Amino acid sequence: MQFTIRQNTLLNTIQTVSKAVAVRTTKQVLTGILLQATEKELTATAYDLDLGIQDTVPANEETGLRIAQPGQIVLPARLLTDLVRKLPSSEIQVTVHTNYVTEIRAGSAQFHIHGIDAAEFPTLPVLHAPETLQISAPLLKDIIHTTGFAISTVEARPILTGVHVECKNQALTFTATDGLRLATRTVRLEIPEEFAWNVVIPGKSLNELAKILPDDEQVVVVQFTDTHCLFQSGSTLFYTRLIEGTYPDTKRIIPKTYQTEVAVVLDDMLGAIDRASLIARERENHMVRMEVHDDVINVSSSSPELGHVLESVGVVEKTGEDLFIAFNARYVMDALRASSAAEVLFRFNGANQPFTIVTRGDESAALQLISPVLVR
Amino acid sequence: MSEWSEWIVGHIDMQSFYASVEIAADPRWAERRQLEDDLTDPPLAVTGDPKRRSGIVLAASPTAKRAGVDTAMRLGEALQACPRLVTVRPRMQLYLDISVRVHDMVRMAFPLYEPFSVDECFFAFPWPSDLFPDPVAAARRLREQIWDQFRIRCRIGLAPNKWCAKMANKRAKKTPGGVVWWPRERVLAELHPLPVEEMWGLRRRAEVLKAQFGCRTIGDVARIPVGRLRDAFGVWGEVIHRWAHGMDPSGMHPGTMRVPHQGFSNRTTLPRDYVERADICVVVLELLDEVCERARQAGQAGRRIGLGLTYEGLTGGFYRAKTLPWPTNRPEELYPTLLALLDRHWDGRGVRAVSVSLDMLTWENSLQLSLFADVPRRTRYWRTVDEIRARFGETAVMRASSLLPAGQIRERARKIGGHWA
Repeated sequence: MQFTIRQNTLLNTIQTVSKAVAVRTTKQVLTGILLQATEKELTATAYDLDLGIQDTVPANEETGLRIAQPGQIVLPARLLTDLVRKLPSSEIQVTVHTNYVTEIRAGSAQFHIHGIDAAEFPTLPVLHAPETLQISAPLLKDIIHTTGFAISTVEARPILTGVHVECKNQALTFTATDGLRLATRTVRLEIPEEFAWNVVIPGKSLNELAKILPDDEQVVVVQFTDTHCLFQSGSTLFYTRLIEGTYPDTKRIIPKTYQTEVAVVLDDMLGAIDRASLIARERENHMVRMEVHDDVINVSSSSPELGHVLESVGVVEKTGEDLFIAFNARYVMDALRASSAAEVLFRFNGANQPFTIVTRGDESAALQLISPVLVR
Repeated sequence: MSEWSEWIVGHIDMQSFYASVEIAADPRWAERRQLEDDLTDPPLAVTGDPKRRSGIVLAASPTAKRAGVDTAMRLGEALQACPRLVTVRPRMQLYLDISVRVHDMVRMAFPLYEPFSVDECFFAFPWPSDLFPDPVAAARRLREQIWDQFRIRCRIGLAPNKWCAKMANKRAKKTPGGVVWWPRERVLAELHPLPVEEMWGLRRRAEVLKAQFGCRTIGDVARIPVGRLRDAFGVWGEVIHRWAHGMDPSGMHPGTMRVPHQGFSNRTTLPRDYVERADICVVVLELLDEVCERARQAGQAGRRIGLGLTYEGLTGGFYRAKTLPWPTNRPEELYPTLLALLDRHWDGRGVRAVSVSLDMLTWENSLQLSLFADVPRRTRYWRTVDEIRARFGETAVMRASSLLPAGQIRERARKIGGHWA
């Protein structure tokens, strides 16, 4: 294999796929990036068996890619990334010699790297899904942003480490919960009505996907099989394993009614809780109290060691009863940060029932549900 | 303790405590027993399981010790050394009950008191004072009170600080009347001629002092410049230097047993090697239940759950812990994580001992509710289980899995510290 390529093109493509390089593994080949050159293009692949990312660069003027001889090789990912970043010249020539020794030359610098036989690299799953779904990249990114943080980090219940993705009745719903809080988001899609999917995607994979999705209005093509899921965005393919098992029925835990509803300016509330959480540290389980009294919300927190904080937040609108409730500040801050709305609605059903946060004016789009803390 | 008045610290140590309780509990032996004559005791040993010759001597009366019986000796050896040895099975609950009452007596006799172990504690009183004009007489009075009420001998060391009191106590063994007082001005004269091995709390460091520094007596240790000790022992060098000069700045902490727990940990040694995962799980769950119950009793909940396994032959094993996002003391929330730790780190070897620990504790003054579980209901459930166990015993309510052959809880419930209650 021999090709020349522009430095930033190669760096971009290996940085894109490097999110899927295995970190802790005994199989050395998984810590590498597979480079494959055909007559017309160069493909980089990383695959840790859960997550696989493949990026393709076409041979043309813009990329500076010229392929002299097709072929393939696996190179150690960390070394390759650092090396390409530090090369002195903008044009890089890569040549594979015998015994997988790979020469990387730029300017007067010349590396000889020990590669691994490309035949050892695992093949990515093949997806032949009959139907595909198309969604705009910024929208998908936003859906992941509003739900992906709520997954569980405890492996004892693997299904909760994933995001439940359900598509039916021309609506796509993402739901994530760790058992204490839940985030869900539904979007309408122009798709055939009989179209139905129900899968659980590892939350870690989705959060990685969000990092490499472009910000411009590109279309992402999504395909599912029973075991895997593929996102295609431009020249990048993103494969992820699915989590087996049945996701808990979250519909029944989302309250339909409420006794108290308050509308607040999101930034005001987020700031107040953020400040209160300075006092509500780890030892106090990040516990912040909220008192809804007439047209004011008092946010407070206290710690035997640090002291006490009290702040009032104005209410834009209120219906229902006064209320006193306590919660883990981190959960509410996560929920508020996931929203880009100017104003949100807090809906309560008393101090010992979960409460919801929705966008004011677009109540059905996204919903954050949080279990409170009972103060003894 | 205020700076301007001197205090005398006492260290009190019960003689062969478990064996003494057994002798005092049997009228045949108790009546013959005399305070100042150790030889009025029968040659008696409290041993692990008298039916098995491999049982270990937990405590032996002075008469038995004189015949060559020693603690931690195997029963077979002990009987060889002293054929007329009387052996009794341990009654741990009785020893604890008596211990609590002896400690109460010490606490009531002097202004300051600090428990140290089942059979040892410290006390302190001001000196000079009108209440205790004669320190030795005051200590003797306590010793006689304990004898009168419990028929248990003790010895007492009096000195200006805890460490010296402990050292003075050792000398009390060979002193008629069982009380030794080292007044401040005599501490160094008493301490320095003693051999290095006598320095309490040094463990292996005594060997280093002898081999590397050529010390024979504590006086020799006192002459080593503190810098050289620091080079050899790190922070311990400073401590050794202070001790050798009869100094110990540690104060009296009457509430030492009441400070909040840093963590809860329970461990059990299995009667045989467990090789089946299902069997190990039964024991893991039993230990978790015990750890959670202790946390609930203390009003605490923990975020980090740990599992330790010791492999066959009691060699090798692992201890691994996982931190959860929120604290709990309910086993159903912790057990899946323990299973994950087991599956990840157990290499399949036979398991001889299991331990479970819960730490990173917080006070249980708030209760994080859950979307899927009725946490207040689970809390009431466990409170009820705890109350039933407190009233009717540990095995009044137990898991069905504990009835499996692998279950240890029924055996354990009859034991304290691994010995018969």
